[in-house]
Amino acid sequence: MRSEPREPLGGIKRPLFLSPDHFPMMRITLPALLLATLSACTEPERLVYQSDPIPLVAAGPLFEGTNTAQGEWTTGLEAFLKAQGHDLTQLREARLTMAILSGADSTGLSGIRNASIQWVGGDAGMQQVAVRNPLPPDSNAVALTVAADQPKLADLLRTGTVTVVADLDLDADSDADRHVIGSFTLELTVAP
Amino acid sequence: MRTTLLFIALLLLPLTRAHAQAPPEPGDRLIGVWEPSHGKARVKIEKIGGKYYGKIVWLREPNDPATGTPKVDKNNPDESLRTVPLRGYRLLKDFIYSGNNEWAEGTIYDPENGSTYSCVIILKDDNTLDIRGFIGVKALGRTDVWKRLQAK
Repeated sequence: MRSEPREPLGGIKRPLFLSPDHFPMMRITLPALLLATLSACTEPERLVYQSDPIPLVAAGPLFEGTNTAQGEWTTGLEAFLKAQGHDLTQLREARLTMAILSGADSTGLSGIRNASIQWVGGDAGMQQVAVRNPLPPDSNAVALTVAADQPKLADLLRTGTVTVVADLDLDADSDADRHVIGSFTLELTVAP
Repeated sequence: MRTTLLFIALLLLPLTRAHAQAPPEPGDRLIGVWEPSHGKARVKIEKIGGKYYGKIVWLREPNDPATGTPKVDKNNPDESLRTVPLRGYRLLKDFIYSGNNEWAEGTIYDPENGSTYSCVIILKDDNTLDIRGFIGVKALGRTDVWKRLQAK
C-alpha cells in the first residue's frame, strides 16, 4: 500500500498569502505589524481632570496690599485614576490648563486688584501656576493666565494633598476674613 | 444645674484655648518682616505647610519709572508670568529649618535678572539674617545682610 505524501500542517494547506516561501516580504512585514500594534496599545492616554471648588481663606485683619489666602486641596486623583483603570504610579505628566478664581460670597472678587496662585506640597517646591493682573473690577469669577512652565506638577499631585496659596492684592484694609474659591482643570498623561 | 454647667464650661475655656495654640517652633524665629541691605524692599517671611516663604510687602519705588504703573516681574523667564506684581512676589521659597539657626534647601529669586539661586539663611541674632545665594556649592555665592524691621 502506497502512502500519500503528507501535506504540510497535517493536511491543512497553508494559505498562500501567509506563506513566507511565496511571500518573502512577510518575514519583515509581520514583525513590523506586530510592533506597530503593540506600540499603539502602549501609547500614553490623556485624561481631563476637574478639581472640586477649593475654598481659600485669608484670615483677617487684612491690610491694603498683598494678603495670603490658603486652602488644602485633597486632589482625589488616585480615585479618579482608579475609576479610569489606572493608578497613581502611571501618572507621567500633569498640566494645568485652566484656573478659575471666584468669590465665595456676595462680595465676589471686588476689592482684589490682582491675584496669583501657587501650589505647594510634599517634597516638591512651591510652584507659581497662575496669575491675573489686573482683575476686572467687580467681577465674580475670572480665568487666570496659566503658567507656561509647569515642570513639577505631576510630582506635586502624586502627594495627594496640595496647599493652594493665593496672593490677593487688596485695595483696602479689612478686619474680616476674605473667602475666595479656586477651581482647576488639569490634563493628565497616563502611561499604561 | 444649668448655672453649674455654664460655670464649668467657663473654667475650661482657657484650657481649650491653650491647647488650640501650638507652641512656636524654633524655626519660627525667622517669621517677620525683614529689610535687605539695599533698603529698596521689605520682605515678610511666613510659614506655609511647615516651610518658610518670603514675599515682598513694600517697595521704595513701587512704580516702574518707564510706565508709571506698579512694577511687575518683567524679567521672569516664563513669559506668561511677567504680569505678576513685584509687590507680593514670593522670592524666598521652600526653606526648612535645619537647626543651629540655619534654614536651608530653599531658593531666592532675583527679580532684577529673573534668576533663581539656591539659598541658605542664617540667623546671626534676633534681628539680623545672613542670606547666602549660590549656584551649586555654597562657597561660590554672595551673602547679603537683612535687618528685622521691628527689632525685638
